[in-house]
Amino acid sequence: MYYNSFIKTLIVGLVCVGFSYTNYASANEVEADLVVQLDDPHIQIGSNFFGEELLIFGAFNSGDLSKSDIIIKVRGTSKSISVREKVKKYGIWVNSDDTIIDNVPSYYAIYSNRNIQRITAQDFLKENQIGLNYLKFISNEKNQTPSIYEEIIKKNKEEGIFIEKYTGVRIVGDKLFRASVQLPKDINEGSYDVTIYFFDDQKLVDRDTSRVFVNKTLAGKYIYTQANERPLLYGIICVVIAWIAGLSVAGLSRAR
Amino acid sequence: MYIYLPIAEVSVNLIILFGMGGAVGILSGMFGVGGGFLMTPLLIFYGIPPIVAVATEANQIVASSISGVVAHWRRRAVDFKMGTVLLIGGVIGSFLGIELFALLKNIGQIDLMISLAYVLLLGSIGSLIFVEGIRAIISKRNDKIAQIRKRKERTWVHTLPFRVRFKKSGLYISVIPPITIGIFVGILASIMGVGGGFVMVPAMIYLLRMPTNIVIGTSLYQIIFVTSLVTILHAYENQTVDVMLAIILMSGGVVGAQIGAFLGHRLKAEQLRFLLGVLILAVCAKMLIELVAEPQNIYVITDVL
Repeated sequence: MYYNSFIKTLIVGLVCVGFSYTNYASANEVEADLVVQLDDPHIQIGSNFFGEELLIFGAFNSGDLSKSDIIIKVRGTSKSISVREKVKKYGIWVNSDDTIIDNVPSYYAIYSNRNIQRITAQDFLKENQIGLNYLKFISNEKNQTPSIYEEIIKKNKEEGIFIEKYTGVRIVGDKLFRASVQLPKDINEGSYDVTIYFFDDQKLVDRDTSRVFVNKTLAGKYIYTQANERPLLYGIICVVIAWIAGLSVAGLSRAR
Repeated sequence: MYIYLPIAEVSVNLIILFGMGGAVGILSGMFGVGGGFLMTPLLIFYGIPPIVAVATEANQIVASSISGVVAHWRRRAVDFKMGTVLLIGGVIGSFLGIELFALLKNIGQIDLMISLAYVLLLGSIGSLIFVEGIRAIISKRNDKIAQIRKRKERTWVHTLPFRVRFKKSGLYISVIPPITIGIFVGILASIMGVGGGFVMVPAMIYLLRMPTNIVIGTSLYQIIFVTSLVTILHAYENQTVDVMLAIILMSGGVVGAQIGAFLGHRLKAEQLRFLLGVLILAVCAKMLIELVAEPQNIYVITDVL
């Protein structure tokens, strides 16, 4: 684990040096305003997955460093969730009928170098759904949904599925940035959109969009697929395993 | 050491799960109980979704019951005919239970139902074992001779129609009571992920008046097939059997059961029995508190598929 992150830091360091070198070498002919590199666009969840960091680094072409800002948005696929309120009935807490909320990201992270409210105008944040407060959920019910939305955000924040980190982007030197985005251990499989916004004096200069894929590998994925695609066969195999285990234990205790 | 459970979709600590399987295995080895009624709540407390805990525990019980039944079978302490009648009821009960499970799952009340069933069940067996344990300690102290029960006494059970002769049990009784018991146990197995021995064994002794020495073997024989069926039905209907979790629990359980059997021969069961009662009541109390106390999260959020 430590070894792993050490290697990553080393790679980032080397790449940064490389970037700086090329930038110095061609200081006057940098074409793009924003160059981004993802450490690993394919993330595998093995059976020992306990969270991963997605390393993002790049270079921007800044006029005035004190006015340059970077916001990174990582968003998983949207899903629908069912929310039930617990109500006390006959002395115990039971679930009420559910409200369906659509367009909830399976993962959502905002990393920036300072408070996003100060980076750019609220309208822009709203329009691009940057920031937990600007996520656009869709619900069929109008009543009391704001409190449900707050609850969804709170719960997901606790589980590390929604992240808002205003100190998450580190500006290195005068044109480099890096961020290590935390992917929690219970992350869903699927594609994740990574958008990086580069602002100069509150104005968007450039944006870069790329995609990261998270796959469940090895036994985990195989078991999941079998259980869902061939449920009957899967169930029978589970039982056969139990029979073999039980019989071999019985055999062992007889041998003694 | 963490491992990702593909069906439960959580990462768990392998050592803790193995330890839980082992601890429950020790108890089952010591007391001859299946342990499903302790394992499922423990899995839920640990954070396994209740529906996965129930289905996977049924799968584990298949293994532990098979290893248990072989010893009884060798001693010819299984009434296969009675076991099969109980099993017919068990099959009916399993299908009913799975239907009920699916229904409750659809209206979002399955977790509540599982908790309620456990509070009720653990509360009653816990108190029974507790009281029995204390009584055993007291009667031993007073050096009383245990009363021998009159087995041949006739009750209402013996007046029902459809009577069949069960040679091994020395009974000539109606098939209605054993089938009814079987149905009840089948429902318990599919909703709670338990074998149901703790219900079936007393019912066989006190209601059917079967000889005590063949009761455990016969109930294990029924449990094997009922939990096998319940596992397959859960896998087929709900996709909630986590084979990875089951294997961890099975291996922990095997080690634990060996230790438990070893300890069981050396320790005084009467005194330990009421400790088991205390333990069961403690788990029951925790479940009850979670039902009654102000929940930490007032909203229950789940994915819609």
